[in-house]
Amino acid sequence: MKILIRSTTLDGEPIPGSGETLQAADCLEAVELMRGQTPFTASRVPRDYMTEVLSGIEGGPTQPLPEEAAAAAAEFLTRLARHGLIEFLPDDKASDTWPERFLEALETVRLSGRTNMLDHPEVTRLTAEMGYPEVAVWLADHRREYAAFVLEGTRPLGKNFGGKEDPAPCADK
Amino acid sequence: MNLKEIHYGIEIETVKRTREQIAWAIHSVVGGTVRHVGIPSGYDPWEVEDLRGRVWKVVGDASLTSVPAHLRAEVVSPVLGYDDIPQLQEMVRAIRRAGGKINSQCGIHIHIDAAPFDGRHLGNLAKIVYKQEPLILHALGISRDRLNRYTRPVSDDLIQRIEQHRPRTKDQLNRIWYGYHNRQPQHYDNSRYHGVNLHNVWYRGTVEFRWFEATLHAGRIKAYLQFCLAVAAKALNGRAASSRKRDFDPQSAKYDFRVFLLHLGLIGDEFKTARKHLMANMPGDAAFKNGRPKPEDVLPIETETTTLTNEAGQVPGLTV
Repeated sequence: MKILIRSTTLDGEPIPGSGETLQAADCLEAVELMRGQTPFTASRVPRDYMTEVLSGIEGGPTQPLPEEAAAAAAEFLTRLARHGLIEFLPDDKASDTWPERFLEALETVRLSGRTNMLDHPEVTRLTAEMGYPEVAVWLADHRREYAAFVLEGTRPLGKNFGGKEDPAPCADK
Repeated sequence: MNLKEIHYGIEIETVKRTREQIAWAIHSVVGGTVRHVGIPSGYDPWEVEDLRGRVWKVVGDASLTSVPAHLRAEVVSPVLGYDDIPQLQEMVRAIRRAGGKINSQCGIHIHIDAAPFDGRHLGNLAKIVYKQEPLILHALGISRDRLNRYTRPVSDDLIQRIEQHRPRTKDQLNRIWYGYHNRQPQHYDNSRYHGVNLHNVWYRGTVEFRWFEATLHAGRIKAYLQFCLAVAAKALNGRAASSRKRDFDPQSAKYDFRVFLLHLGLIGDEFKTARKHLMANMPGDAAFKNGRPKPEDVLPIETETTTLTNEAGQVPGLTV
């Protein structure tokens, strides 16, 4: 699993899109890595460390964690995410690379001569029409990556969900 | 029963992002694993199993006809509790950050666990909603089209039959709702298109509230949830309920609705945002039933006090 630990303001509010990434095999290992980040927390027992962190965030005595260590670690991370302090990232097996028949589909459209390859909507439509529906779906969602591919031949970028934060007029938005 | 003890689920419809992208946005908050189930192909479901082992689904929705099929997504939550509201809100924000949008076709459906309800409680629920429906529909700003098609009001006929037969069990209410004893309710039964859908009690074991226009505003979604839970708690805790329909008076609507929310128990700081969002559409003044008095209406009260004294300088009165 991969986690983004968000930086916070002085008031403890998470800053969207900020922070550092941490990779671990499971929840327990993630908690171990978090605990080991500072000498002050490294010496603490994992359960005490988790309880202290949660009580600092949630204020006062908190809902007790499950007895079982793995379940406690999962609950701890879930509650951190609930407050927006961590974000779970897709693993590096990148769900967002282009589909298998991507190059084949574009070559088919190009050779058909029916559109300018910079006409993204038309290319999308034609790939669907010519029997590459999964490529059409990918193209519809990856306009920028497609443009980069056509102009520079670069591979698509991984998508980052923690992007632009819209202004929030309401504190609870 | 306290509103915080009632379990619920929620369905949120979105457009402009694929089901896969919405699934990963959910994953960014709940963690766990993302899986493309793909069957049945009509729904093309994606599943996110969170760290607690609960499954969030993202499925296609054929009713969102204004966007291509691959950009229709409906988030279906697992059974949630009151403590899960902050996580749900964070998830909504993640969907918004991922580029998920809503349009006029999108809606939100809230499901309340029907297990604690019997026929009498469900009758109470229908009557509470029926009585306050003019206010509720106005407060939630439901479009005319949605009201006519998917979110029809509680019918006068249903309330009359509840008053007449006074159902005690779910089976008795089943006969009243369908007009016969329906032992095998179907998913697409036409009776489900009501703001308060009791068809789901027998189909899925939940009371479905279909009032809400879609939103990806986490605060509004929390307000909608708290409102549904409060109505459900009121129905569960009340021995009976009045079904005399309240008239909608634009002058006092905001005040009337605020009083209704307070009656439901939405009092204090915890429900401050719920009251704010739910009363935002209401005309009138929240504090004055007949409108806030204008300064010129208030006459200054001038009092003159004169003290009469007798020659001895004493105030006349009873002397012993």
